[in-house]
Amino acid sequence: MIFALLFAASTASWALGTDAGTLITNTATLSFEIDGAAQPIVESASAITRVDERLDVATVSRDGGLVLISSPSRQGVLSFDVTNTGNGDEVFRLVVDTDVDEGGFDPELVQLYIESNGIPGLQSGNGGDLVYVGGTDDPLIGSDETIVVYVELNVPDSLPGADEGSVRLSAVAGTFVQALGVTHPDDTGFPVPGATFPGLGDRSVDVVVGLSHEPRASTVSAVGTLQVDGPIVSMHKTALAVSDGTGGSRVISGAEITYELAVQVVGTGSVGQLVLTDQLPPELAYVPGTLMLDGAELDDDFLPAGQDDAGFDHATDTVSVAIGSMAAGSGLRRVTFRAAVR
Amino acid sequence: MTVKEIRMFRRFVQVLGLALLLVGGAAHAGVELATSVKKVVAVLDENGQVTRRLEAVESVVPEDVLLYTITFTNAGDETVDAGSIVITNPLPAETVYLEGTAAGSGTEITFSVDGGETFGKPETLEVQRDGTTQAAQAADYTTIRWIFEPALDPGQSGDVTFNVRLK
Repeated sequence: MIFALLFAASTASWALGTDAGTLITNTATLSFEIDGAAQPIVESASAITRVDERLDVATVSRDGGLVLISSPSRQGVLSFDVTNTGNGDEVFRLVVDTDVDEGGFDPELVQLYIESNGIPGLQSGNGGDLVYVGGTDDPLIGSDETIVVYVELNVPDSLPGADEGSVRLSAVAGTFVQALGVTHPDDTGFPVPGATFPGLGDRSVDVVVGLSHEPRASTVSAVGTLQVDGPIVSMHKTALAVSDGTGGSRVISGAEITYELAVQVVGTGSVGQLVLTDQLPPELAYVPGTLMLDGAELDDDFLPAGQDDAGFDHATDTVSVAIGSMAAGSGLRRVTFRAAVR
Repeated sequence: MTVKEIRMFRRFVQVLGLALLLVGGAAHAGVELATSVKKVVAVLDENGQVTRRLEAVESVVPEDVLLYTITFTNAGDETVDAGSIVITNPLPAETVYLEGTAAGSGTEITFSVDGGETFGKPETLEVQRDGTTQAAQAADYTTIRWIFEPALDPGQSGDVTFNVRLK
């Protein structure tokens, strides 16, 4: 009940169904006359019909389309409404799938939240929205009430522009979890419309699975999609080769390692004033005159100032190469240099 | 017998007499009235046609369609006057009447939109909506009334029906 009060926030436009457990009573009366004389009115016994709990749910994306993400956040939040469209109160288990669409990328689930602080949008941390843990925080949603769910996601790097990644949020009725142990719409034995669960409804009436669980038209789940927008910079450092001075490739004192810093910009748009830096650890010494960009030699001295922005800074043991502006999808820029093992 | 026992015996005789009076009163001029309910289930047959069948029902869920049947029987030994049988059925509050479903052979059927104060044919009924007077819809009906035109001889019976959808 605490949850029901907490989440009874949104107004919903769904038609209200008669509450589970209600008794529908029909009674007729009859009047008649015999030889012109009115007789006492007759009342029928009542036909009484119990209202069972129809289990229905509508999960809907709140985002109204693609949610754009751009570097450097690498994070996206998708939001959903979960409405109990049945006629009884029900606990729901929330489940997220991140491997939804063919192609595109798979976002990485960070955390689920339930809107609880009354401030639109996701706020995490102190005073923020409620962190949801499946099986522990399953919300009780009253008939015709809606909760808002936020799905916080990480986005992998190295994405092409306009690439899309989708997740699916499902609201699985607690009755299914309790009675069948199914926790996901794709589980074998997930109930279909018309399935009944005797005595598990509100006020111990039967539960009947409603049409929202129709396999091909299910509203148990909804999909939300992130799209890469704006540039995302990704860099990888690789040791290309080791030369130990004896024709071998052992990493021994005096051996020289060839490093490559490969940078690319993905997504859309471009970045400006891109500078690649790599600080060497104490075990490595820069080999002078080995700095190259895309196979072209660079010198080490940063001179003339203002024109040459590449070199090796001895004070900080850092290789630094200014790339300048770089457009998304323009391919890789490669910086290579060698360092010697001390 | 003690005084107490005498009092108890007198009380017994009084109750017995009352019971006999009740049984006797119901015996000679009575119409019995019964209601029953079935669920109307639409099924797709093998030719792809939707057919409807009736199922016994203990419980329903919202949007289910119910058929109520009201059966009246002359259980007395005198003929009931022609045109005098009036059956009144207030619609359960949780249901909506389905247009055109009220039936009953030999009956004149009228509806009320004011809780049974007044009755009329569907085309004559009006309701106030949004500050204006508008033609009533089936969903506005509160009560159905059947007037059975023929006389009903002892042992004869008839029935009337209507459909509703559970809100």
